[in-house]
Amino acid sequence: MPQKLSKLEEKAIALLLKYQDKGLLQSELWHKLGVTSREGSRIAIRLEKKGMVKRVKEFAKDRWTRRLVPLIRRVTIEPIRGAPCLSCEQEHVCGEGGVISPKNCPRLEKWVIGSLTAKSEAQAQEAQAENIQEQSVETQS
Amino acid sequence: MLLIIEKETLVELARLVGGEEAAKVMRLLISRPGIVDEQIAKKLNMDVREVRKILHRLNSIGILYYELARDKKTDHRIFKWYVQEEQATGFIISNMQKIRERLIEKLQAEESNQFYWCGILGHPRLLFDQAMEQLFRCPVCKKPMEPHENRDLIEALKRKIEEIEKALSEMTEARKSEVAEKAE
Repeated sequence: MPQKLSKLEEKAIALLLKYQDKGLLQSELWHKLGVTSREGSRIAIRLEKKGMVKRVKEFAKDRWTRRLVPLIRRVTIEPIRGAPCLSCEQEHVCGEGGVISPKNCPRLEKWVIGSLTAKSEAQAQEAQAENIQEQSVETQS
Repeated sequence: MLLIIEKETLVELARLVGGEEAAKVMRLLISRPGIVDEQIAKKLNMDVREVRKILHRLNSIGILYYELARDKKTDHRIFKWYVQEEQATGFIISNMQKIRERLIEKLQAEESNQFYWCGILGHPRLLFDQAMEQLFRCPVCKKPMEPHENRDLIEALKRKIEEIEKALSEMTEARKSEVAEKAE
């Protein structure tokens, strides 16, 4: 993290990163964080001061509130997770005319096919988990 | 726009480069910046030579750096290790670009050639000439090689390239605006 953040601020940022495009309403954020509205708005203000979120005024659920739009992007390694190239012993001889090349690398093939299958499975699991979470929130409210 | 690298991403990066042991070392370094190699070995119950090998591997790609100091009692040189987060971002971006280029090269080869394969994932797929040299037997398991219908692989390659390009464009865009904001 570029700046020192408290545990709650880190949690808030992690949550906001899930909603990178639309952002989150302040009230939604503190519900998810499990803090009071007072503490929630303090966190939002602190994050705004640190330049990590933009607080946009919005009329939602019959009242004026603020939407927190993240001004940060997460560096992700996800698309190359498990890629064999980074730890490959033949990396320096890989390429056109080399001992091995991406065209005939079985490890590269295995990774591409394997990660596609793993991704579809993970997406299915994530969707299922989100459904369960939403249902439990509805039941609680 | 700010680019942030999470602790777990750093651990995952170390895992990718140096395996599970490197991930453990990175996790410890994040929580204890400035730790010395011998302390790492002791904490993780690892051989100190193995720890040094990992530290130097991670240092060679720029995601760790050290400060040289002297032990007051023994006057020996000691290395205090730290994580270099900004370099990790650059390393991830440049490797993503490299892998993307390799996948594009592979996709072009897949689309314009017929491959022969034994059907076992991880075993080589050969071009006609290469397969003929091997008398259409897999060089690894010696099973007969058949022409391989590579539609699934082509599809997987296309999706992976798309996924990498999307992440790359998001990160490079955020990086550009971060640099511009700093310049202002």
